[in-house]
Amino acid sequence: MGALVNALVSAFPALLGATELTIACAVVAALIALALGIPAGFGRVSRAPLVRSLSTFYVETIRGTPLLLQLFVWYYGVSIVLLTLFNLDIDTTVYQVLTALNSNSFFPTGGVSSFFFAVVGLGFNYGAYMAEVVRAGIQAVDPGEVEAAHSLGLSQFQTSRLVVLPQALRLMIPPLTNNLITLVQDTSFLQVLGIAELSLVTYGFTTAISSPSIRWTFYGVALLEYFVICYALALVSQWYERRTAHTLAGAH
Amino acid sequence: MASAESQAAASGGVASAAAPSSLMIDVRGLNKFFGDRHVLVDIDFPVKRGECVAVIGPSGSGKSTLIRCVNYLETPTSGAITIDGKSLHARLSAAELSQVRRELGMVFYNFNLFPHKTVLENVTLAPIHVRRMARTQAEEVARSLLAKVGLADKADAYPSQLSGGQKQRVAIARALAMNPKALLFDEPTSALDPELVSEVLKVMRALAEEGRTMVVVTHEMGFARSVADRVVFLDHGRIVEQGNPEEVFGQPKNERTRAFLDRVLNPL
Repeated sequence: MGALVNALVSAFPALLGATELTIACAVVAALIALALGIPAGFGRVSRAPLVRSLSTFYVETIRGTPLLLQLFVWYYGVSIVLLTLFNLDIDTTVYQVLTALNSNSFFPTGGVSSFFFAVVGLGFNYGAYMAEVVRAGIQAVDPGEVEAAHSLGLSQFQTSRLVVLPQALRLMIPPLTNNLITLVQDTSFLQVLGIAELSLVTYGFTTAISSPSIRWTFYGVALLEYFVICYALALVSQWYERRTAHTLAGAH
Repeated sequence: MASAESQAAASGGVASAAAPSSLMIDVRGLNKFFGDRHVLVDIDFPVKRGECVAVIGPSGSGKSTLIRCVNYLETPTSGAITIDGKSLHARLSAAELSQVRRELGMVFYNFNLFPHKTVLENVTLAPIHVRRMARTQAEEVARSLLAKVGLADKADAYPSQLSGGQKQRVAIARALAMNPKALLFDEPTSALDPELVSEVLKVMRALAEEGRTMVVVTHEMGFARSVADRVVFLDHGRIVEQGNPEEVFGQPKNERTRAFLDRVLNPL
């Protein structure tokens, strides 16, 4: 028991840092995913053929290929393209930006490009799935309500803003939560780019521990942490769904 | 023949007004195709100011399409539509179309209330965002309209908490809140349970008695007969017969009108 407590106490700072990095990766990737997914979702139902095909191309290529390989393409492929074509070194650029913003505390010096491409890769990947959630939400709003809004003289933009989006957002919450939860767990893939996130750091400790019970306790701690983060997301979503249930068309 | 009749009806309009302005809605030579299907054929459909016109006819005869063409929810294939002197056509900008649509209140068979907004918000949405009315003023107007349709106590309810008849009365209040020049009703009672039909029809009768310009697509023959100034019978996309209710219901001239009325009035 004493050995277990000692092991956990000595590992605590590293595990805490890994947890923070995991959450940071998830938050930034989720923001990128939403920033891409919302316009792409609207693009999928746009009347402009070019916008529609571009959005469809994005969604289908990303959905059709594995996240792990996409991460390699970002880190080994895109970084070289940026460097050779635009002489853009992500390592220095991002580091300078983050230093300027005084927010580079998470990153090991010199390892910024792996974090950058890891988070961008994860965000691009999830953006495609979120685009489909957004599209489904928009299409689930009764077209009769859009007609009613038009017949009252509301413009296309006002109709989207006042009638379609508020309802679409409400409908998107459950599938969006689902996506955010898997996004949190998929941050564990980022270890392939050397990101010291929770799974990698936990694994690192376990390889150095001979006692099976202590080793499994470390895995248990990591699993519990993922569970707590994801369950918290689920609870927030449930709370919001309950609070807004009366606004659904079919509600009673 | 339909054309000659309707022109006669138009020219015999209110004596005080000049010929063009006596018409609130004027539809001339309207044709509408859905693919190969010719759903409206050479429709002339003028509606005078203050007139209440009931449009009746079998399912699929084009009644709803006609009323939906009037505010351009459907784009006519050909023909001219004029609302209070302003002509509607496919080249209108979105803003110009909105200018005309806000003058035409529309009530749908399935209500189409905004479920995420309260009854009061449903009624004030367009006055605030389209007419740029101050919120307090819009709410005052909305409350008086809700009182008028008998729903003063439901202002803070959500549509999902209302019965069908109540929803439709809210939809009528929502249309009235824009103070429209004419009201279009697209089978307003067809989705209602039978015992809820009368509360909606009573509101509509009161509106007709106020002298509002109304076009009512309906299967309620009692309403068409007792409230409408004119009944238009549509079949296979053509106006087959029209006239005052006593004529159309009492001595239908056309064989198809007679057969339709017989089926509807004596179903057994």
